[in-house]
Amino acid sequence: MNAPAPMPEIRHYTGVMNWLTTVDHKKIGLIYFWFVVLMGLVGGAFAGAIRFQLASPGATLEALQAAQLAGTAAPMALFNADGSGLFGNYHRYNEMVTMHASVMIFFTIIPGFIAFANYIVPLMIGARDMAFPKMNAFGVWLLFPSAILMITSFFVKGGAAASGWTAYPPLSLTGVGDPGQDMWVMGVHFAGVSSILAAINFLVTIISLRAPGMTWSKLPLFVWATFFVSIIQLVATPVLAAAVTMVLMDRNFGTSFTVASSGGDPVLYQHIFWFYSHPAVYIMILPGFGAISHIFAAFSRKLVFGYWGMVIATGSITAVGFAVWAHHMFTVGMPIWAQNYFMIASLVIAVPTGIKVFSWLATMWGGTIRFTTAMLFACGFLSTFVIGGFGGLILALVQIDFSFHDSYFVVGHFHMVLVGGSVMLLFAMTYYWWPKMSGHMLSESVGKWVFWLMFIGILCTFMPMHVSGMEGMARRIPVYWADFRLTNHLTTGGYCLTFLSALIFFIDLIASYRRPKITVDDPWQINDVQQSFEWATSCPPPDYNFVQVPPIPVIDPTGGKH
Amino acid sequence: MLRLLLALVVAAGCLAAAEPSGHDASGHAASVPATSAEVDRQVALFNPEVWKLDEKKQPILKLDDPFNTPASDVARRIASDFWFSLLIFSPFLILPQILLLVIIFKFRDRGDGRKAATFSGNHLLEVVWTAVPCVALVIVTVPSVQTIIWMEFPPDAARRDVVPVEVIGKQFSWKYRYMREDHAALIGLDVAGLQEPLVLPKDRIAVLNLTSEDVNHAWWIPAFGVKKDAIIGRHTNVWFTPDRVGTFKGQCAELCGNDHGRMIITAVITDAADYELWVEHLRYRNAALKIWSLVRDPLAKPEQVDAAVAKYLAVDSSVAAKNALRFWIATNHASLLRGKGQGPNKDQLKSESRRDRERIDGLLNLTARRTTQEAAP
Repeated sequence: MNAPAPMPEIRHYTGVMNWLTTVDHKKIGLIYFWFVVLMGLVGGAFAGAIRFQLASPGATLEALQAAQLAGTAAPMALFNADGSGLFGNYHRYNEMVTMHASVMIFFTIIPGFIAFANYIVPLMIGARDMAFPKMNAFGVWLLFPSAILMITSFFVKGGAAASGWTAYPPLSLTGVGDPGQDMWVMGVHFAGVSSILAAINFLVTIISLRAPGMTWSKLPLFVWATFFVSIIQLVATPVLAAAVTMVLMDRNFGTSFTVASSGGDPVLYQHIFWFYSHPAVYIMILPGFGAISHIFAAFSRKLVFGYWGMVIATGSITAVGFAVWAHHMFTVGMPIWAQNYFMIASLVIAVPTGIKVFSWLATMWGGTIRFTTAMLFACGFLSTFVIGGFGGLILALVQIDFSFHDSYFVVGHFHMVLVGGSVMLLFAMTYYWWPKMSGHMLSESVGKWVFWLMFIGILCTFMPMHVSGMEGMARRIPVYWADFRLTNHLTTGGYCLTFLSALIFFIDLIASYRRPKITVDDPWQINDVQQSFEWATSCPPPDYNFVQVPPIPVIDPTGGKH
Repeated sequence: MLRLLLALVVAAGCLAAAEPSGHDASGHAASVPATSAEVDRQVALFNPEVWKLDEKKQPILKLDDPFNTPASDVARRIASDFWFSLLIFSPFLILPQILLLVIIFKFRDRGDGRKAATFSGNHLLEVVWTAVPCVALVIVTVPSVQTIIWMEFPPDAARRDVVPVEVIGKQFSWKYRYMREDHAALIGLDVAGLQEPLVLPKDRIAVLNLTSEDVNHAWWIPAFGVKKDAIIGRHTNVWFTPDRVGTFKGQCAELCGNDHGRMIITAVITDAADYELWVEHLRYRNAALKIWSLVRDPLAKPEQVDAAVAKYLAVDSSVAAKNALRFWIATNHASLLRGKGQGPNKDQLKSESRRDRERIDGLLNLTARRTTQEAAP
């Protein structure tokens, strides 16, 4: 009984080859992680180019129009109508808008959560690795050609894709012969395949590789969230592939799925695209919802409040999330019943989300809270996410959405949930799990700076965006009415704080490798209160994680109250 | 079903147009020759300056939004729905923030040996925070559904009095055609390549029928609270009743290419008399633009212009026709001055404008005198 299982014979490489050939879920998780960190900086730099353009007081619509009509030099701007700016013309601006979104969504936030899931989920369920280790490696390496395709497309003839990350035809069908949009489509395909492979892997791992005794009712919430998100990825990502393939074929092979002049319909694409892209919103936040429950519980020294409520809420967000896609396209014109249905369904999602928010608060209630950086990020997340979600409630109302759709209110809203939500979650998860993943601590004192800069930066960047949108500023515009000058100044200032904080974090992340190795298994002393597998092995865990089948948790994560 | 009903609305509007109502106003407006100042007023009204900044570099024409400065019945209803939903939903924004602050200050670990609580569930609490949001959603949904239905169907009483306009988006400008008027005038870009405004009467329902000639666009003027996509191969409809006289600006709200950010929209809301005047002017627009191009053609001989004006008057020599010609010459000059008159050629363009306008005024009077002289013997 309990004899150590024999280790399989494996060939050991060292150095770079070790990383290139690894099928270990922990190393793959770290490859994902560093890819995400670098891509996050690239995407943040793209955002900087956008903010620079929108910050310059000379680049307002009126001043530019006046200067251009008068034949004088256009005001200082990165992108100019006459091509005199640093980056050429407004086509470059649209490329930047498109790539900022694509990089942030496909290469930062979605793989960001996969990075942690890859590392932590097998540990949490007491598995030695993912179910399909080689497929896991294939998935991560697919992201590199994907990112290379997208980012190098800036340098091809005609530039990168410039039709927004939504790639709505007919705009995405213009410029046939310029490879930028086609490279974008292929990049999405690669990222999509990577995503689907990861989803299959997680589903099989969670279903079949749980340690004996790790029943569904004891599954940690992060594992539950990864499970639900994998279902979304598995079902929805092929639909995205279908949508962008229609664009690819309409561009290159003479089909007319979306070409109105030969019987197609541009709105068809929008429906199919959003059928993926709305659930994708939940891909980008649900895993973090699961993880943050652990963080709140760990640093409050309590157990998660309302375990089953949380699981059911995550499941119902998953289910209802598939049925609300058309709230992104109310203005295309649809029947009254459809408008009402999509409004009510969208509002309904607020209920499980509310359950989660209140359960997190109840998790902290009565605890003895230690405000580590991870906990600060978790609390900051709660605050900004509630603001972002509130904007979503207002946007769901059709008649109000007619005014807010494609305005900066929408931009403010989804950045508030993606940056104030997902990115804050990723930071919290990094500060929480980095000791486990790397074996080194991140600096808590630097971390406080990172948190406060980012928290203030996020509020300062995205709250004024809501105001710009309410005043009537359209999104994806390189020049704007001077009415919005003040709010845009604030937004640009906030961006600088946020990006500065990301840079400080990046430096601290590299510096952490020079700090001494952690010698304890459980640096946060979490298992005093609860028992979770990932804190019961060394930092970082050894190859194959557990020499023995781990013991069944003594303390039930549900607290024994189902 | 929806399309059918909107078609009915438009049809009803057309029937109403067939009745000889509202023509009195136009007849009245055009029965006297306009003074020079009156022409200038019309130019300022129908061709407003939307780009100008004051000395503090703030725009002179402020952007109105539906929540603080609504300018249509739709915007007013949306604004009231907005503030109402904000009120009902606000506890869900404020309560978590307050609770979070309380938790942060109350349950911080002060190292005094206080033990953390051990509860991990409370069914009553969970039922409460599931049920209460549901109630709030119902409270907000009911008026929203009513508004959505109302926004699809214009009020019965006013259906006969609609102004249907066809709106066509094209990279990167808008074309407008008044569907009820029988003239062929298409409003689009002016002589300086800037977007011309859509002129609509106050207190009458405007029904816009949108489509696109190329990529997707969206027609959006915040003050009216309407936004609708213009999509190739489709016709979308939207209605609103402007209830405030003034000039309103907006812009295309769907990414449509390089100059998306400069695809602006302006709407001028006038009272009934001015609107009739505008419709009257539009009737002569295409003929007047021919004369304009001759006037501005450096190769055209003066006799050609004389002949063109005579031909113009031969078709219609009414006071309305003369006023329309003077208006179009003046308004095109205003556009030119705005477009190309920022630099050193400002004074030259101004003097050209004065010269051309006096010339046309003279020609209109001269031709009239000649006609009477020829008729005398």
